[in-house]
Amino acid sequence: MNFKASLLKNLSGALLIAAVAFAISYGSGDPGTLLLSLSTPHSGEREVLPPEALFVLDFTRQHGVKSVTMSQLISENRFLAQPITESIYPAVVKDMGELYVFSAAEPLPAGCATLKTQKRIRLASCR
Amino acid sequence: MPVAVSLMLPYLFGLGVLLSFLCASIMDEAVVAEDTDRGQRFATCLVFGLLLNHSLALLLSDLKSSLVVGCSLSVAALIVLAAVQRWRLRKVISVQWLFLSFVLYLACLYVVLAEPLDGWDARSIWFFHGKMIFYNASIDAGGDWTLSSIGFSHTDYPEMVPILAAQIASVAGYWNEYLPKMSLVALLFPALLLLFSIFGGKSWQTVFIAVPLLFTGVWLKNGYMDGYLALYGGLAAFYLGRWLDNANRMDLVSGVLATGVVLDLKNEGMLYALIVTALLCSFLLSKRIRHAAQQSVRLREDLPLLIVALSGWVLWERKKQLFHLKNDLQLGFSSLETLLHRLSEGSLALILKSLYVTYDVNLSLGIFLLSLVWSVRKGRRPGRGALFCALVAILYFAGIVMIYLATPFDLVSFHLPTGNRTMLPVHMVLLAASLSLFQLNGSPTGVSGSASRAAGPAPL
Repeated sequence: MNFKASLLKNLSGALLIAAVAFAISYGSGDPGTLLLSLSTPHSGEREVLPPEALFVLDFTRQHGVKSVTMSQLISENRFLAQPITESIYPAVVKDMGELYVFSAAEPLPAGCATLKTQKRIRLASCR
Repeated sequence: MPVAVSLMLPYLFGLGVLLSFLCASIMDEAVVAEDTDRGQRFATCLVFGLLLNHSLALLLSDLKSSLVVGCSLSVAALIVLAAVQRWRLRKVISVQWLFLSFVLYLACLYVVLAEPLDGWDARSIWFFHGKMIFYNASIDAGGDWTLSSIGFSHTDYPEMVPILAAQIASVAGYWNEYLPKMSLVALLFPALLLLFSIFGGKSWQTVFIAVPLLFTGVWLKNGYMDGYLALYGGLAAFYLGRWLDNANRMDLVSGVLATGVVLDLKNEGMLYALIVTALLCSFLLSKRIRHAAQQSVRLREDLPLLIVALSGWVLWERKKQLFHLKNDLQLGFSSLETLLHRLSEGSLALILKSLYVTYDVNLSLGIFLLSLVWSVRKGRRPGRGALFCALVAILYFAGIVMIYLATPFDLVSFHLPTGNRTMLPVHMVLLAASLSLFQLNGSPTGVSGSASRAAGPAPL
């Protein structure tokens, strides 16, 4: 009798926990998609990064870029500079980097050649 | 998900059961009659495992070496416990408790991992540090801590969650925006177990689980540390307060270890630990409680515990010195000028209004005062635990106000908007104070659960 009551109590507790978890995370995605996301390298980047950061990230990955320099305009915009810096790591942001990231509104520095442009961001090689 | 990653919990538990060897009498002496006692022991072991893993990683720096040493220790401890000291294992886990714990763990995984990492500070600070540690396979991050371009990332902040995130990614062999969040589950799960173990069979008291989760909710899954700082801060204050009431050494262990986690989560943890230490010393020096609580302290066993709880913070401070990492608030004697200037221009009223009214500290304080009134009307005097928790909350609130006054950054645009999360620990500790009142009043002897078996209550 005691065992049955205890089992019932534990089962109802477990059901309550599962229901609360489901209610909290309702709409966040099904467990199948979640398992796929968990086991895929770099998953989630497309959902959370701004397009400018994704543009720089894709380029650095495709071309094995190890260091990036940002123009003053980009550096001063923390909503661009921070996501770019954290997303491209292990490529680092420093002076005289392999890739120059600058705004489409800025002039191309002397000695640099544009590599790719997308909306507000341009990438150039300055070697 | 890689199988090895799913072994995170057994790994931490294995490290945690070293607590039963380190402080044998703590784990052995008390009678374990209820599953809630086991729950507290199980959760405390996990917290100990978290702290030990953190210290090992900081001590060895190399991520793989620390994992190998940690795994060896964990497996050895589990084998010894299962093969030689099974009676001790029964004091920590039972089949029924394990079943509920497993469901709770799965629920935590689902809630925390369901969304990718998108919080601003989570990406720019905590999990960025984790990424740096992962890609360099070292806590030293290849010296990248000193790069001027990552100055925004507050590289001096404690690294408990970043190190855990990097370890998880290292075991998996890749980084993404979901898996490293398992480090948050490693913190959330023991905290929830501790919460559940507090309430035992009193189902109406689950409101005290719902309210903290309501306050911290989003902060527990967005990758910020504030929710966890608040949760562990509340738990530490509650257990230390309960220890002052009943001198049960298991509560002392849980409280000290939870304070250790707070210290390794965020810089505010230093303020919290300082307040808790000062208050504990004051309470212990008080003649009325000297006898029971002081007699429960056993230096030979409690000192190693204290060393493990503090080692993560000490080792990270050493690393910070090596890398010349400084906090951007630059608090010190030089802050006095800023503080006096802010006081003279009337910023104190602005800060108090913002934190107390806008960010609902009045609500938590109201809950505590109503609980106090209810308790007094029932003819029960509040215990030392409630007073301890209330003082921790008030002093922490005062400490944060002082920091806001002394900060070199703009108050209105930079600091005041963060009040919603910096006040979370105040909410939690005030709720812990309310809970202490109810727990003291909840049992016929005035002390709840295993506590009543340890010693009688001694209201102020």
